[in-house]
Amino acid sequence: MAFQTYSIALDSATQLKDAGAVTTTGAANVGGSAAVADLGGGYAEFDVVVDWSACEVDTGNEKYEIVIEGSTTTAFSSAYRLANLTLGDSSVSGNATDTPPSGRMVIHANNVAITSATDGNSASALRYVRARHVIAGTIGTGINYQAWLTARQ
Amino acid sequence: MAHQAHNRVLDDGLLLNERATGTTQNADIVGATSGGTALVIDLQRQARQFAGLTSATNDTSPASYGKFDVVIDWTSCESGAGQIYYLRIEGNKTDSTFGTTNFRLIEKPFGVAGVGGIGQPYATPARGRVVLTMDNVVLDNSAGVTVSDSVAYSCCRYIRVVVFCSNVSHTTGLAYKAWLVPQR
Repeated sequence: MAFQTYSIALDSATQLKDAGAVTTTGAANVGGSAAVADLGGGYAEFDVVVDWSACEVDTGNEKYEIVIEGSTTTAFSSAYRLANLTLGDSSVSGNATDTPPSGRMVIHANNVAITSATDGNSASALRYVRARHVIAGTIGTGINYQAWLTARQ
Repeated sequence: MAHQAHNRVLDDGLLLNERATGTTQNADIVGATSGGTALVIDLQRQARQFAGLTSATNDTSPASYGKFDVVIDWTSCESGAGQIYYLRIEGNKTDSTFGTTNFRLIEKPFGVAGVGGIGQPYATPARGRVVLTMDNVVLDNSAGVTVSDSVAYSCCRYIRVVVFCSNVSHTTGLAYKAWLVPQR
């Protein structure tokens, strides 16, 4: 397995989602509360480890997009999309094969987003980061995943 | 701009695209030169040349693990109603023509703002730069694996960019250049 060459510490202090199946679009929680990592405001490069223990592809149109979002506020009143991982049925995920029922992938990201519709040079380093799942298709049991933000190795 | 803190070498030998999507709608535009020649990066060949080896005997599939940035500079981006450009970095383990068994490594949408658009508070400005970071690892379930073992994980040898243009009318679309940049 390729990732065995890395030792990635999964720190509960920066966990973005704990175990539990989700079937509809929404922001990720830990312990039933919104999970937001505070990066402090400077530029940051980081990884997000996504482990899943169930990923339903029974119907053939299930799409589970794990989106890493950044914001300047903990309420994410303006949320910026930083990176994403798409899982699910191959017909909609853009991958050649269906996502297996369990596995791990690592998303590589930074916290920079362009915060203007008119000025492409208006890039900001966003202080707060969270995970969000965007789910589409005919969903039964959905996806059960966990996610951790980790410092770049 | 935050990215100025990094010094990234944009090597035209690792160019992924330099042509605009133009009026294309509801279709993929594969990365290519301005003359239309498809651009595909062979990571295995790049690694061998970086090591100073001239023989291609080590250019085998699939490739070894690679981690890299993709720098995207765009000089125009239409962002009217419904205009979205899903820029996707794709990988393939063995086929440089990307005929079958392609994998999506990352996706970056450009265009109109909002939930029905790119999911950002603002539309994409007319010009700018973004840097995507990724590796070439994919989870290949073609053998019907049920656990995350060595059977399932593979590293893609070939890398390309594809832009899917939304199903509305476009005039100039997304004009951009993209380079693959190996990480230090």
